[in-house]
Amino acid sequence: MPLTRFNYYVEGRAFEWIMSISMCIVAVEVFIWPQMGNSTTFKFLREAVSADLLAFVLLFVGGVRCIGLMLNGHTVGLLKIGPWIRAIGSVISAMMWAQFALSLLHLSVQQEFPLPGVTFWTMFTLGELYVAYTTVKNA
Amino acid sequence: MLKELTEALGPWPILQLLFGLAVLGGGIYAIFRGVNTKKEEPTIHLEDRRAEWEAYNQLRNIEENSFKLVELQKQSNELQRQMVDSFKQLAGILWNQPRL
Repeated sequence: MPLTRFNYYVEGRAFEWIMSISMCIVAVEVFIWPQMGNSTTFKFLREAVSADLLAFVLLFVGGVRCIGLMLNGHTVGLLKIGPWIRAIGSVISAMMWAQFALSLLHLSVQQEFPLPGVTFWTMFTLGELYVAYTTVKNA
Repeated sequence: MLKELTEALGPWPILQLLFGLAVLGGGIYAIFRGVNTKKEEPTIHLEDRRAEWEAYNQLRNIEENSFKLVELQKQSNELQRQMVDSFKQLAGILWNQPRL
């Protein structure tokens, strides 16, 4: 049954899959529409890197996280690499979400009312940190 | 005050760097915490191992006995067939007995 196979890979990891696939999709969108790089969400990151580099990092980290999610029980030596890839990918993603939250927080302060994205990106940051903890704990 | 602070920090990426490093530190702490928690919790307890061993023993027992059961059932069927044949023979003899 196809749902059984789907559940094998996705159950318990839905948040990670959603964030990883979203990263890949956004990266492709930025490649297609570079003006997306001027979005307020990317404000602080764009001050340091170009839109193409940002898209490349999103695509790379998202892709590596997807690979980590597919690796169930694969080992390099005695170390299960899947959970470690997922944990490190979560931490890197958390750093990016924190920058997005900070960008929107900066804008919120300027316009004197909060943007909804601040809450979402902040919670995503905390969620990714928790994912890093549980992934390694359950490895 | 928050507005002035963010404007003052505008040209400098201090706040971004601080947040990034704070999240990185939190992530590394989370990973270390996860590794240590995993080390503290035993993956399987001794009683669980005993129960698992006993379960495998029972499975072996069942597997061995199932073959014996099949053999015994075949023998029982054969004996029953012989008994039925004997009853048929007896019935035939009784039916064909000359009536006085």
